[in-house]
Amino acid sequence: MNELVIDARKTILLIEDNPDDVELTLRALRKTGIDNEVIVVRDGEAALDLLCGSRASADATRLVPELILLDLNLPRIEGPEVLRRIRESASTRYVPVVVLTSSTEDSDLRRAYELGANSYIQKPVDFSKFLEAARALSLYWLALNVVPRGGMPQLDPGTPPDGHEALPE
Amino acid sequence: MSVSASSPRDALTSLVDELHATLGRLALALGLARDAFVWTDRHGSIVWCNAAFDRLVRADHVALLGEPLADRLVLERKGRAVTGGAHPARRLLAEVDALTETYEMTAAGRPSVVELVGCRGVIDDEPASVIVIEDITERARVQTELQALNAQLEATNNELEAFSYSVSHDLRTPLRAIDGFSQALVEDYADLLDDRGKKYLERLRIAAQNMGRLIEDMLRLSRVTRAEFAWTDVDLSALAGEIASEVAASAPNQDVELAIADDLAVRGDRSMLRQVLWNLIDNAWKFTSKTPHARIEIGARADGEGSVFFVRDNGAGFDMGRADKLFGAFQRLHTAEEFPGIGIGLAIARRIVHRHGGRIWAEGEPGKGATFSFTIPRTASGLGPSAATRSTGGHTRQAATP
Repeated sequence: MNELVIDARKTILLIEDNPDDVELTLRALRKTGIDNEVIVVRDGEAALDLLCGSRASADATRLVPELILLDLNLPRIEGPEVLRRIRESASTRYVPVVVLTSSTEDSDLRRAYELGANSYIQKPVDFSKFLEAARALSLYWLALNVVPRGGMPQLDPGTPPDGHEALPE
Repeated sequence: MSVSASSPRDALTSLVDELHATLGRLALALGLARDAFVWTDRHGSIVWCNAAFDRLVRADHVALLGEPLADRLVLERKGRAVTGGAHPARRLLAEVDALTETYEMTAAGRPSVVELVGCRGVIDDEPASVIVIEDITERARVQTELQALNAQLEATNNELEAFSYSVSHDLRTPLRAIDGFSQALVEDYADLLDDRGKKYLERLRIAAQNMGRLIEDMLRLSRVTRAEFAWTDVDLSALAGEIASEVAASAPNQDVELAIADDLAVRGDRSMLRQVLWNLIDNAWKFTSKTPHARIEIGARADGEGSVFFVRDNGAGFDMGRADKLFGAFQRLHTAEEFPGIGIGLAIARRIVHRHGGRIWAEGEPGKGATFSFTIPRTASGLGPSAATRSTGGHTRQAATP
């Protein structure tokens, strides 16, 4: 059985404007056992600066996190727009983005998926529910791929069904 | 017409008599007609017209005969006079075979909107035309009003949508803080809090979560009003069956005898009707949660113009005296003890049934059971999706959808 270990080297970028939500999200991550570095940006524009380096700065200052938590409801540049630009930029195109939203409207979630979100957490009023969602999220996106003790299992493809060829060795 | 074995003269007389009779009938009818009829010759001169036409152009009948129709029928479009070759009377003889057009004119002394239907033909080997003119002033006025109302409604709807959205978001944010930080207090300061302190914080959390649920309910209710209506054939029997399986699956320890009538069919919005049935069936399951030999029946009975669908259970029932609170949107908190878990479902069901133009009501007796009934009218009563209107001026407008 694989043990799911959190890769503590992975950096998380949290883009969230509400200070209470920032603190509660950080708390939820900590309680889930995530001690990763979390960079918090309160503004979509600042986030894009950091990620895509819109200022004339060297590539070295660009941040490429391993996971982005993005609040859909941001001031100035809206969440969906930030998502769109993250997906446009070559350096951040494949970074997993989990969208945080208090909206329960299907249209918002659909739009988030269309723009390239990998997953979403609907921010519930109940903190313990939020904790559960954060736990599931972290196990999925931050897990360290660990080879199980005893090496990789040998797979026996078995006899192919009629009409099918056997798989190559 | 019978031709007797008499002289050609008699036959001719017979024919003339018959023609007279036919003409007489036509003249009578055309004289009564409210629409104006006018015939022209190849030059566009009035050959004949009925009394309604005389009144329309306020002229003496005899004086009209032989006059150019284009001169006597003064028409305007958007305040500009339609003259010369553009006049429908001229176009009908020169360019087009038929037309249906709307104009403004002073009809019988009043500013009016009229619809002209005309066609060209051949009478006695000669080109000729006939135009029928209908006064549609009232219809045009209603149309304009309807469009204005429609625009207003759409604007209100959009406002409502934006309001609901921001209300939901802005109200929920501080609630998250109340719930989250209360929990943080309980966890991080456990040693500084006695049992009572922890209890208080627990109650804070419960209150915040209750408010969260209320906001959720408000949003669901408003969504029903905002949602687009999709009129389709709905197999209620199949739908009820699906829903009953789902509800039963969520209450595995409950043994319920279920009876669903076949051929329950209706025309309406499928997803909305699903919500109605879901709420009623789920309630029935809740009402019978403590009933041995629980039985839930879903069926219909004929009544006047349509069917009355019902969901009947033999469960706890309710006091009819308090029934008026059942469908109220926000009565829920007061009736939580009497009807636990019922929530906003019935208010939503009622709004959906009303959108279909129907009625919903409940009957019950404590200890004996309850029956929830609703009607969905067969004909679109105008409360459902739009009904098309006739064309005016070449355009087709849709009636308002409340």
